Amino acid sequence: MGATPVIEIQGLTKRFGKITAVDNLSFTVERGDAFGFVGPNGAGKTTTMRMLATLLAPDSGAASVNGCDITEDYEGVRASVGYMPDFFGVYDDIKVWEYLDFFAAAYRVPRPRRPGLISDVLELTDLSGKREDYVDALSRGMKQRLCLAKTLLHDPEVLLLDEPAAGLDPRARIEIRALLQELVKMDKTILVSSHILPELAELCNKIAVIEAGKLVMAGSVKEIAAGLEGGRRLVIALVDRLEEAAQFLNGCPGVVAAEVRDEHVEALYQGAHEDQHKVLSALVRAGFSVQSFAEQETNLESLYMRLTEGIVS
Amino acid sequence: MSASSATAQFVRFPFRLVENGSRRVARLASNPVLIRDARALFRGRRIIALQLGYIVLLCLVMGIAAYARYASYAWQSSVGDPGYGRWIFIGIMETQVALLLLASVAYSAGAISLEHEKRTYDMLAITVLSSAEVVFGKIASVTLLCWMLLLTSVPLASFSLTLGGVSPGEIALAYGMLAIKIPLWAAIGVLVSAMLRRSIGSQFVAFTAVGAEFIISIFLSSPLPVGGGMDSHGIFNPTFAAGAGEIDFNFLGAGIPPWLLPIPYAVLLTGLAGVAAAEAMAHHRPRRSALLRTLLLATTFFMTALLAPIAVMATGALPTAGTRGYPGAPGQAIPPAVIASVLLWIYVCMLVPVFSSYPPTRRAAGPRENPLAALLRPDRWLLREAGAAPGYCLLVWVAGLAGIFLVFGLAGFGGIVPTARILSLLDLAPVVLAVFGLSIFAYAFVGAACAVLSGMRRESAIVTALLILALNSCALIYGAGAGVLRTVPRHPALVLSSPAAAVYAFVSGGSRNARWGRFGESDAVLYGLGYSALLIVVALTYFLWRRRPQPTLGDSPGEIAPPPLPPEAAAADASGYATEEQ
Repeated sequence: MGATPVIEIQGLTKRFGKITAVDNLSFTVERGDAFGFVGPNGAGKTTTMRMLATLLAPDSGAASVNGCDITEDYEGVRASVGYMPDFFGVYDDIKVWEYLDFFAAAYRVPRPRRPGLISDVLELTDLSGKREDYVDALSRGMKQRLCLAKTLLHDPEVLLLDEPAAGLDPRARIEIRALLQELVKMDKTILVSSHILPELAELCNKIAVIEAGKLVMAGSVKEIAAGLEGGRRLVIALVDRLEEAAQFLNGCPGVVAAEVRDEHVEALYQGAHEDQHKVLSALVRAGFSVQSFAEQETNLESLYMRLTEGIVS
Repeated sequence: MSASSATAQFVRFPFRLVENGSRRVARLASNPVLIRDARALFRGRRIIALQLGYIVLLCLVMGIAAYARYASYAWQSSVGDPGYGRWIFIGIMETQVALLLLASVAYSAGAISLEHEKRTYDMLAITVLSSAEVVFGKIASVTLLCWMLLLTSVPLASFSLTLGGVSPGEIALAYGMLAIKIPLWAAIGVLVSAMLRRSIGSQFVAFTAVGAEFIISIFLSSPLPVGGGMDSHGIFNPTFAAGAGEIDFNFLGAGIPPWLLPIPYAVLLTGLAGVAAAEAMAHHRPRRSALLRTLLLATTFFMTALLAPIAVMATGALPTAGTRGYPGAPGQAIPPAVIASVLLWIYVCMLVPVFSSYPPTRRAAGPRENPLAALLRPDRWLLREAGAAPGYCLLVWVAGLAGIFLVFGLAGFGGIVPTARILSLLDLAPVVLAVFGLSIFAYAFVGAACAVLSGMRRESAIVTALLILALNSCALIYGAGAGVLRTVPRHPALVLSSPAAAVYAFVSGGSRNARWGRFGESDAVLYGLGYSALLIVVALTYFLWRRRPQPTLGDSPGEIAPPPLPPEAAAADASGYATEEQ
């Protein structure tokens, strides 16, 4: 991953009357990141995305996308951003290719380039067969994909996707997820908000958790988990002597706490990652019959529940 | 810039103008919003049904009109009656006005509010299209639809030709005037639609606004003097002008073709509504500065368009001005030249300060530099900045004159204006250029001074300049009332128009007429020149006063010196080493 910041937000604040929708929000998204934006309903995710898309002006603070300030150089921002809103409608009496042609023209794509470009994005979103269909006759999932196709027309470097899979059936959700994974491979920088946390965990390398307009935590899922728990959680399955193993682990260097849970022992390890194998070696040397030794997979849902308090839900 | 490159640029300028113009026209025609809306509007059975319904309604009206006429006259007499065809024609045109008003407002009033309701607005707003392009596309698509409906009725309206009472020219004029009004109704609809988020509300307000414009435009022209005993209601309202058969009136006694007047009126209001709509879309409510700028530019256009015919007519009227009497005399129409003078004066007063305050504010504005400080720097001498303004104004003025010559040159070719009048206009040009050029120069300095006075804020500069010139007018009127210029009491236009009056007096040969008394031809010229010179002197004095040396860092030893360094820092500086610790 590159380390160039593409989205930089510093102290962004937006108020609607007496309600502060976004409160002094600051975080950075680097080039090539798939950045998940997580938070309960009303947390300020959509407001933040709309400000980044230049559809809303912030009350205070600053933000830039691809080096363009969202308040000073909104044309530069718009040229480098593809925005997919959470709820959107489509125009009546217009065909799929005409819809895409309109947006391509609206992004000043030269006329000769448009037919090829439209074919490409239709193929990418698996809508080539619907080219001549009317937009309002498409299913919800197809409209989502069409909107994504529209978002890609001007080849934006940054994609702001607000709940791209909301309201879709499982198949459509899987299709959208696959499409987003394809875009990640294409080295697009993606800021995506979603309530479907397992899917976000599969797609994103970093997340930011927001609640009541304030940033709760930001970073990679593992970093956040480590930050929350104070270390890595090791899951060790043994044939027998579980209690004894837990006591033994409590004395091992780097292990903060160990206890028996169900049919295995869980140990919270705070030592260096490269020394983690020494815990296993010590167990084996002490004569314990180790069946498996693994770092517990971080569960985004459990993290989310621990991080948020349900203030605005 | 060297002289040769400046010449080369000057030579290339017209070509660049044409090239840019054609590119802009092509861009307007390929407006994405226009193409998308047109695709949606002109597709499928809906448009055929719309056309059919439109024609059927017109046929019904035509049938009812014919029957009503038939019922009130004996058939035998009405067949040969030329009023019979006219009766039907008027019925068709009145119905078309109502239908097209309904159609244009119904389609345009939801143009942007429906985008909000259908949740398509965000995706449209985030594109790189400007709000002006979106608004243009919306207005143009509705206009195209209504023009198409209008065109479908041509065969029907032409039917009245067979019955007599209407000429093909009248039909063409009626259609033209109605076609001009449609973009205005559409623009008002789009404006309301951009300001309100609910389509029901925008429909209601748009219909109210268009209805108000329709009624107001009928009475707007009532005070204007129209010769030939005709009613003036039709000047700004095509229904009355075309539908009611009032297309042969004689505006201002100058024989101006009636089809000429609704054009600037409709274009002015359409432009205003369009810009306000774009502003409302971009900022949720129109910005005051943008509206003011648009109003002034639109007024410029309006004045130029209005001046063009009057100026030409004036050239015909001038030699006979002495025999026509004076304004206010019983039974006498106001000489067109007087009106031209007054209009020119308004034109100069409004236009020149705007443009003269424009270059300094444009160049100096910007977040990185204090504009006033930048202007006071020696390399950006204020006078040089302000000096661009008169040149700019003169350019505009010459372009305006060229436009007048072009319009009436074409009119001359078309036989509308006699060639002799066109040639007499050429005689007038040097005088107008000389005296008005000087006036423009004077006003330009006033505008530039206002730009400085107002801290380089353009809006404030324009308002200040207009206020000063308004006060100037008040002083002149007061002077006339107090007897300062009592020698010409019968000619208030002379007092009002100041330098413009000098031109009028000069070209009309006033001194040879006893009416002018002591205020003769040479006095008028002197008055105009003196007045302009006074303004220039005042403005120059002000600039020179402002131009006194300002302290700037490092310009010379005599100016502000940097504060002395503390001893240890001075020692480090002297030794050539300045460490971070120090």
